[in-house]
Amino acid sequence: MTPLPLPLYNFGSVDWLTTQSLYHALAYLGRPGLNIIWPQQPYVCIGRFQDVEAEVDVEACRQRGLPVVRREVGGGAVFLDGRQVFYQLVLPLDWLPDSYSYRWLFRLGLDAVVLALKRLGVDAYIRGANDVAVGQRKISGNGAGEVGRAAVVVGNILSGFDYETMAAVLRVPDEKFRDKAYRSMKDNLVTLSELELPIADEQVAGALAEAFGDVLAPGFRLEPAFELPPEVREYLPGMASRLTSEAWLHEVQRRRDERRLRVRAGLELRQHVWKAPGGLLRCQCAIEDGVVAWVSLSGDFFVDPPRALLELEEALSGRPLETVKEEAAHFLARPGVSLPGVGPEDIERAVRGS
Amino acid sequence: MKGKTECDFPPELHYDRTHNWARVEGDVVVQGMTAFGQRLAGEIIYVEPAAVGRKVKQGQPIFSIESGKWVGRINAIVGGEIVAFNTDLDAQPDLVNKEPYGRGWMVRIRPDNLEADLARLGRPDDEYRRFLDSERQRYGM
Repeated sequence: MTPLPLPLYNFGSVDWLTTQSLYHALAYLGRPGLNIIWPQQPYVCIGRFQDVEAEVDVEACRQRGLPVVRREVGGGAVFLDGRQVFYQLVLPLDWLPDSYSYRWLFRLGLDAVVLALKRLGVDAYIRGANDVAVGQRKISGNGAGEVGRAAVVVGNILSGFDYETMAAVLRVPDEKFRDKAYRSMKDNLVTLSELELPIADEQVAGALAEAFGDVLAPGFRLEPAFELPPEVREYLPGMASRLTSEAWLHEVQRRRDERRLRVRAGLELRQHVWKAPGGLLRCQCAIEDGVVAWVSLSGDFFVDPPRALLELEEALSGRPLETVKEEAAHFLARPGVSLPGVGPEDIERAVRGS
Repeated sequence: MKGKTECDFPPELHYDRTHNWARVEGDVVVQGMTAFGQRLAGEIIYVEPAAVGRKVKQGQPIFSIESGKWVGRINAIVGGEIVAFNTDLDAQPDLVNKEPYGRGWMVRIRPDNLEADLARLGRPDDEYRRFLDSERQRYGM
């Protein structure tokens, strides 16, 4: 079978908005392409179905001069800047079978990232469904979706990462949660700079292009392209306007009683609010590989003795998520402990969320 | 279907090749995702509300779902008018995972060409089993 020709747009540093509008434009036009680019200016990008006001501190972004944009692929809010090399693979849907799997699509991106990193001397591997990690720390995040007339998988390799700005632009319930988010990201992400591999972005881009060439063969053949087709160039301004419109940015509005920050595969920081008969329960916790790593409970319920709340948190920490109700029941049955109007199922709901 | 898949593919339902099911209830068709489909997708974290009142053709994308950083489309299993969307999925999108043939249903469509559309769907027969086997093999499930 003759391989399908796939243009390679290895454009390097481009205007921030082009890093989003280009792959969306290709996808809506049903044109194939592999973009390898990074933004000249930093910005914040939210996932297709995220509520911008719930996920991002828009005012903090404005104060820092950071534009905010919604993408059409999945995943969470991310801070993006020129220390991350992006890849964006766009495959027209009419090239794919009806029942193609997103897992297959993700694997194309993940395999290429791992191969590129290995060739750069980094011992990377696929972790979970869509991360690439070094040791226990994530070095590449990836997302995917059906956009316009194409299936798209996008991702990055972290040369460096501005943890402080990322933590500062997140919408968080309080500064304690922000601090947890910051420290959790520092503990669970890693960059080429932190690995003491100060590899130039151009070198990372070259390794990615070469790796994609290998991963996509024999079905697809990368063909370097040095300029965009006129049709795509003409389409870009309209796509850029759409992606930056207020209506598009605020299109999704979701429940605000739940907040989840996925730090890496298998690790989420969560905040849930649950109205129990005895009062409002507010829970902040970290769930790591299905286990409650830590939990903090507060609210307007009555607890006696007061130290029992701390003991309840300790009793739940380190326990599998599915045993929270059982652990809570054991705790509430202790002599002298009183949380009127708060049952094991309320505590489970507060910790697990909906 | 027998054995392991018996409960996964109720015999009274109709199935398409993108892992949706259809159940005829009076003059409407209820649509959801198969147990196999939800396993393939992973935890569903968002189901975009479908537009009630919209006229759709069989196979036409009608809304999207998000699971595991993937946003994918769900196609209408029959043509007609969307008459209801399962609003329970707003708060509990993972009902699709937990009860794919029950409370995890997605939309109700009043069909406009039911017999012809059903004829293009599959039953849990040998041919459908071969299709699923090939899907399992492809995705290592």
